[in-house]
Amino acid sequence: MSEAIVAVEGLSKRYGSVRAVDDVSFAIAPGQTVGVVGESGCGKSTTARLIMGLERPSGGTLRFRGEPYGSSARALRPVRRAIGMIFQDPYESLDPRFSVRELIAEPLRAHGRWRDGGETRVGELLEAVGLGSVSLRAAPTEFSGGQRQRLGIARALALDPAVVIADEPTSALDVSVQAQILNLLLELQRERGIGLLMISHDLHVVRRMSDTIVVMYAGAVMEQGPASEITARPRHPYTRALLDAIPGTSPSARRLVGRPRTASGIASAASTGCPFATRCPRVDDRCRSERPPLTGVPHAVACHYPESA
Amino acid sequence: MSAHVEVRDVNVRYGDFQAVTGASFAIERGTTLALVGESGSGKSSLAFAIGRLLPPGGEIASGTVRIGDVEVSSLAGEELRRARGRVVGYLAQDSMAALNPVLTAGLQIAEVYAARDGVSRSQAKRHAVEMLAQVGIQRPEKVAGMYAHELSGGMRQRVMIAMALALRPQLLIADEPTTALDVTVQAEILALARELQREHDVTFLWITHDMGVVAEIADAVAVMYGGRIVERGPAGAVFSDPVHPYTQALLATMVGAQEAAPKTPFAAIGGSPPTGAPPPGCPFHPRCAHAFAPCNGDMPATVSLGADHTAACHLLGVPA
Repeated sequence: MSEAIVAVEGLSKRYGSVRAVDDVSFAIAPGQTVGVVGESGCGKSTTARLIMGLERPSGGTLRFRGEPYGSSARALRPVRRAIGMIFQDPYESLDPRFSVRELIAEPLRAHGRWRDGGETRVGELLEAVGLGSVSLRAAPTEFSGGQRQRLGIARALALDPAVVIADEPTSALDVSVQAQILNLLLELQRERGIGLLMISHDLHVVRRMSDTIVVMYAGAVMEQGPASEITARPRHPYTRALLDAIPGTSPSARRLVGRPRTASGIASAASTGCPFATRCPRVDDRCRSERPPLTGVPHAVACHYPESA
Repeated sequence: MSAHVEVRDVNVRYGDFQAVTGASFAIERGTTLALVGESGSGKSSLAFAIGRLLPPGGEIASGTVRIGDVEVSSLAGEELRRARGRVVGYLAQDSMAALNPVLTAGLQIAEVYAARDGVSRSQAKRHAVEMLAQVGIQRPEKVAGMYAHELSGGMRQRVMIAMALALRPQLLIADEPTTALDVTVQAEILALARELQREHDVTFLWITHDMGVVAEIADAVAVMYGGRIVERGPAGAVFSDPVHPYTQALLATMVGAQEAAPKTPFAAIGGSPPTGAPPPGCPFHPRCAHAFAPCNGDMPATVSLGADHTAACHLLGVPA
């Protein structure tokens, strides 16, 4: 197996008493995709921000090509050059005052890569994301959501990143456009051997895109392992709950009828024991008092009573 | 027998811009019609027209909307004000924006009763707590005393449902109420909606872009593109025998329905939905895999396919 480009080991982030990210470990290898899933507030976006050095970890180690890196601007510079980021909302993340040319030139300039063929590079990048025919003087406001996200991807690719972090890259797009963007990511990964960290709430998409899946709840990893294993044979009750909540694909195959009408409670994670204990259908006293460790290779699960493998 | 809700040949305009053209459908009492579309499809404009919620500058240029025995499209003034919440209710996507941040959940629901029914404050408060219990909120007395920011997204949406159902509207327009929610919470809200429908004969116009939500909630479906209803019919028929190429493409792009190996391309539709005025002819023709000569010239007529199933596509005029 090829060496990981980015690895996180025991990564943690606390805000006061809140454990936003709690002992998370995974590695992103060239050409591979790690998919991180979980509900809003599970810590998946914070994990991405920690890797990029946009926030300082409270604990754990971040590694780039095997070497630990800290939070100083100097330490982060080569890391940020090697990691491209694609954001959820292409309407918010592109400065409307910039032209297409300036949007893509900006990261090249910021990292001293403009003088050496920058103009040609802009053309190549636009071509790579399927925008070869747009005017360089156009403003992003003239573009559709899908085209804007392609611009966002061109920006993320500007410095030839080894890793791309995509945080919900399609959830703000029209459904008929989402597949185009996912296909573009798959194609770019295949052509360039990019390691991808795909953050999404959509398990169908994550299953199809990923080699490894990390399921997070309340900052902690509930289950982690090969994508096909996690989705075909989930062992954690939380993963099961996520899968069971996916709508069916036709009226003759409804999946959500007959669920209880009551709200699943004011979902505050348990402070001791398993964080999922307050929502778990199989909870007992042990779950409330003793935190289950994440165990098992390659399919790891953090549960006292996992479904049998 | 006539349907509970009847929308006939509705055109919606904002000045010179025609947002909806010739929309017609009917909804039976106690059933759900899903109005499916993407940005620019006209689904929100049509829903606002039916709910008489069009923003200033928007108008129903022609056509009629009847809900129960009320012709909603011709209401004005005090009659229109009284119809809100009773004849037609509206459930918004963004519950944080729709709820008043400085009033407790219970007071906001109680206000609906107090303002419209002339009931006493204490009665209204009691009704509010009962309503919260009905929408599946445990410890409703406690939640009645909480503010929007203290509630989770799912709880806020339940409070919204309680408010929207308070006056037992003849039609409830649900405008993507689960889009901003986590999939687990969405599942609960969809299940709740169906249960409330069964118990109280609620009639839903459910707006969404998500065919998975349609599969779960809809009895009938109307698919919009470029301001027109391009296909409508019973949900079973539309899913099993979609006729319009856009409906077919939307169903084909449902990731969960694709039998595909990991890392293989997703089924995709090229191009993007029209922004601004749709192109001449069939609005879908620039993205349609089957487009041929007449498609960029004339809008195809709506053709009946039997059993309440219709579609507007030139392919239907081509002899097999």
